[in-house]
Amino acid sequence: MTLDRLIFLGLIVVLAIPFVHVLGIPIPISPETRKYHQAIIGLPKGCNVLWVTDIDFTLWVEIQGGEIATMKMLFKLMKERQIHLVWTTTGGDTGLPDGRILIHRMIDEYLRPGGFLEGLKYGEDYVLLGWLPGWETSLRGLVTDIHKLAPTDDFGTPIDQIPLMKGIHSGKDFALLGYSSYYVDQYMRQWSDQKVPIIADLSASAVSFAKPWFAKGFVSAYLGGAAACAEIEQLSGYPGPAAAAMDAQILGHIAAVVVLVVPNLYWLTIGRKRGK
Amino acid sequence: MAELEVFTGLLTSSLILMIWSVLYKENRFFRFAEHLSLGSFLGYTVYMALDTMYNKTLVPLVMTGGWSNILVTVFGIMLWLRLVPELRWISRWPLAVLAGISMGVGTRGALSAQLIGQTAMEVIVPGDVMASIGNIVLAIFTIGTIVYFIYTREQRGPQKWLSQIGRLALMVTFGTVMGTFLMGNLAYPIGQIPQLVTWPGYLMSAVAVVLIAIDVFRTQQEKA
Repeated sequence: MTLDRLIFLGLIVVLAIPFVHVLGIPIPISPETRKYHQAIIGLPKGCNVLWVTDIDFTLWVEIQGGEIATMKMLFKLMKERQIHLVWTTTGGDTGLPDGRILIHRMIDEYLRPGGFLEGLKYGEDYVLLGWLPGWETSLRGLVTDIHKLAPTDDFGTPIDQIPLMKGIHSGKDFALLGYSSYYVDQYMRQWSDQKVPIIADLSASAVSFAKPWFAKGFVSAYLGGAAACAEIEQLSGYPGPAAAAMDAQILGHIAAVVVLVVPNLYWLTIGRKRGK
Repeated sequence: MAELEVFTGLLTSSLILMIWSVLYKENRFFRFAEHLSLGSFLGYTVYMALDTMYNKTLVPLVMTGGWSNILVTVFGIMLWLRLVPELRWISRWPLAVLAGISMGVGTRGALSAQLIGQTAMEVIVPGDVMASIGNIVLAIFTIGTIVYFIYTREQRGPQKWLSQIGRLALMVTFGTVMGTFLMGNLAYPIGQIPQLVTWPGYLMSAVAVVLIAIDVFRTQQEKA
């Protein structure tokens, strides 16, 4: 077995420790996460929300906590404030239909068993538009002419026959645009001219791209990676997979730093002298 | 129901362990799980493509007609001609249209939001020194990065200085993205581990440890 494989195996053992014995490391909540939470719970009565789940299976593992908590909050607000949700995916950069599978998985595994769909009616409170491949062109179509982009919903029903969609035609008809993805620029390019608040559930690697947009006010709020997902779970009162994984995440970061620092220290002190 | 959950748990943990077994060495279990996951996902993607073609194009075409639906259907068929060697050239036309539209849609947003939106700003924010410094850095880095990609004239004087600042901005950005990407990747094993250390997944973990131990023992005996 080579050294790199041994390091990966060691990392897996370290990551497994918190799942056997919970460490309970406290999670401080960042201002960005508080703004994200506020952007959702501050939605006005009867408004419409567009959510685009542009994540694939790999990113799902990282940011599922944020996505699930967001949906739980939105579905709760559907009952409390009669808000409406249009939920879809453009496939993101891969163009694949992972997002559609994940949307149905969220409904079947988290929202329905949790009672979030009780009392709500499909077509009046929320609509699934399914997979709308094309990424950036589809993102533009969603805020310019949604009826032309998606002539039918996820189940093949013409959207002109869906009551909720009769009052929704472009980005101006939404009070909030939201998405989950690895990317930021593409969404800002197509949505920022709508002058509608935008929130995003992002991978940790996308945070450095989100910061300039956030500073300029294009992005109202964002979640960055698994840590922020754990924060929103805590803030929303819906503990889930991200909070449970945070101990492992922190241990993993410590292990990664050790793996980076120790060999470099060895090289600087002993290895260089020996010519290794 | 309980039996189904146990079966699903065993199946999921088995597949995770089969994939991770490549960390020990290349083996048939890894190959099986790799082909199974790729095959099932490809199958689902083909199903979704056909379903979308039917629901989003053919149904509206039959129900409402319209030249745009006919046009995209024809373009779609033209793309499929890529599979016929003699008519492959025809597939380039819809591809060119797709590329052109995507480029146009992207560039329109890039100009208004990315270029003008990021550089047109109130640089000095009264009462907030850090925001003012951040804005100045942002403006210089944005211009520097654009200048770095100007290849139509030799980089000399102020253009060269700006270009070097742009290169620095790119290096800082790529380094940050790489670091956060690596840290974010930790979420992947973290997402799978609970399946392996809880009931019934730990049964499969135990089986995997035994199998590896047997293989290590057998390999050492063969060497001896």
